[in-house]
Amino acid sequence: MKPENDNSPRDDSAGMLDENISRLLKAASDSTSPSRRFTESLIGGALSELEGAQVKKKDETRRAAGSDWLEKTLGWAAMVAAACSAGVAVIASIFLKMNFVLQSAVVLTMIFNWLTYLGEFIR
Amino acid sequence: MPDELDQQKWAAFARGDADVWRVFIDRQIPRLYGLFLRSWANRSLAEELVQRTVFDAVRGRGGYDPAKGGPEEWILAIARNNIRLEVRKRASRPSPNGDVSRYFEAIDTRPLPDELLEREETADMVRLALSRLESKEQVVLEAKYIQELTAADIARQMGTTEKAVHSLLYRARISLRRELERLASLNEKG
Repeated sequence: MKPENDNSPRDDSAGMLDENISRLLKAASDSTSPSRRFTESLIGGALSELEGAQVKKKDETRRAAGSDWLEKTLGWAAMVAAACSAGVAVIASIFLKMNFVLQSAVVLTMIFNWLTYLGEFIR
Repeated sequence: MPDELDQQKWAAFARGDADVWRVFIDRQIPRLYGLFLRSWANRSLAEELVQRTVFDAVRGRGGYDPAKGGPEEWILAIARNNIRLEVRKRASRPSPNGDVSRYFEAIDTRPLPDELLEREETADMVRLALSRLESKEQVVLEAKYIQELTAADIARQMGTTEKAVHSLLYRARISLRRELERLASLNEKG
């Protein structure tokens, strides 16, 4: 918030001398109000802090919204996976109850269908 | 109707509306500065405490409760709390002794104690030291530290270059330091 430093030799001792001289001269001054430059600099700093806090808040909201979307997608994927598993279980149980000839016919039909599909795909 | 307007203003204030805060801080800075200056005759400390209070308010705006009073009373309560903290800080550190020259000798290595800056004799010594400098040096020191102008602004005012201002400031600081040391040692002998 302090105004820019105008020290020529920029080292620690010059910085401390600058700071102390500033404090001494202010102590000797009769002014009862802060300088306009100090006021403007402080207002600018405070408004930047406010802006920064609001940007951070927006980021958090956006991040929360992003995680909501991820949760919804994962939820839907889990539901589809559960439905598919139930379907596979039903089909498998029916398949296991079939006699050997019928099982062989189902498997051969599936292989024939896959080969036809593959042939169509290659062509 | 005024109540409704106030409520809208308070809501915008708590939300951190930049326009409302700009007006609010601009009005509060002189009030807070005066309050701190009444506690300690130390302008740099007053600036530091004003700065601390404003930032405490900005960071703690979520805790502002309109039911307990207006924003002015709220920031005043923060300022009073900062005064209490400063009083406690001062009570825990040793007060500077009467040997002023010892502090001026270490002016470029250690911060001067606030209590030293608040003595009337220190202010008198600075005024006297300043009056012994060349007029150009007095002007440049006042422009830089009291009016808080940038080197570019000072250069424009003095009709010179920024480089010349930097070099004049450097010489002025050294001269002031030398004068202060001399006056402090004379004071000690006297």
